[in-house]
Amino acid sequence: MWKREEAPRPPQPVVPPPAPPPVVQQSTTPRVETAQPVQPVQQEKANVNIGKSVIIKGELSGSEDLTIEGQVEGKIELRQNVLTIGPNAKIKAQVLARAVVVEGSVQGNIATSEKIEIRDKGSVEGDLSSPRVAIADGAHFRGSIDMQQAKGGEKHEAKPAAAASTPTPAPAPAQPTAVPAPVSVAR
Amino acid sequence: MAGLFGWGARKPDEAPAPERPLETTSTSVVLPRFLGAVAPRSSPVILDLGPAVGTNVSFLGERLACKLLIGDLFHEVRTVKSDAPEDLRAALMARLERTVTSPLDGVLCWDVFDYLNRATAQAVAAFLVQHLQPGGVVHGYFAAAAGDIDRYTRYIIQDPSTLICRYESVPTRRRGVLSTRDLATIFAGTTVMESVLLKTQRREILIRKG
Repeated sequence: MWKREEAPRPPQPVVPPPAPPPVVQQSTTPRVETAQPVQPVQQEKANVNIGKSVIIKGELSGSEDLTIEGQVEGKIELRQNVLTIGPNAKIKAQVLARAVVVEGSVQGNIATSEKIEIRDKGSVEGDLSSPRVAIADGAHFRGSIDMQQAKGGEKHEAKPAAAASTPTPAPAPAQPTAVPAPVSVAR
Repeated sequence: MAGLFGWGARKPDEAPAPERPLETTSTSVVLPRFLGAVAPRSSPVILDLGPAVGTNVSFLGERLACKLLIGDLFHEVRTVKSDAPEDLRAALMARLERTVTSPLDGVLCWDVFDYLNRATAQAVAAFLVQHLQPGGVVHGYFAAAAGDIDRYTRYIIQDPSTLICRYESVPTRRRGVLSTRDLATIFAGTTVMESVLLKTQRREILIRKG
């Protein structure tokens, strides 16, 4: 009796169900990566891995970042790249690289243009030559550490004033990745 | 009254032995003088008879732009199984011969000599003096009280006048004492520039050649 006459409600618009996501049909043809891209875009740096069972005796060189988990005896040269010596690696070699990270064992001299880092499980017996050397707690090292040459003998207090006003050089354009040189692998 | 006559007096619970800290901080008045003596030298070479400590490597490298030789002589002290002192002496001298490949401007011997007998300490000291450049300096910590050692001290440079002492348990060894006069004798050809007796029963010494 007290029910008010409610105004007729306007018809609710029918909400269509959400459209299913578009299905992307993956091409079955294999993708071929070209060594030289059409446009000079920044590519991700490749990292080559040498596995635990691999033993190399001789000279190892390249122009890519390299991670070694096996054994190398001889010489390793990666002047523009980063060498990572994995926790299972055993290296008896002279090492020359842009930067080196040691998590395994190295017997030999290491020279870099940027940095040498020996992590807590790493062990190095040899001479280090680099502008920066970082040795973690627990790491083992015996030998010499030369931070003179790369710094040009500059000491902490004698920073040249001209360095502050030197303009930062423009970054070089990205270069296409060169095809790495083949590496002989002895098993 | 019970306390006066000791009747029914309860014995106080024995206080537990205080735990020895794993790490302490030590102020040094000698280290700044060592750094001041080495800094003016061109391309200085410093021999550290202790283990490689990342913080020390970074500090010395940035401050002195030096070449750092890591001797880690305690590794031989710990690993030579023979009880014959001459075996340890031979191992230490072999390690020094392999490590020291150029004349030295500075030597850090922070926790080494306490583990050596007199003859071995004399042989090591003679080697260091022989390879020190004129004007070269030695910064050392030596025990000032005899007794047993059951922990090794790793010194970490916090700043030019502060060192963190981090202790590691080691098998107990007998420790001798080298007085300032003894040190002047075994480091023949040098002069003791500074000798500071610390509260920790250690002596901090700066020795200079020439």
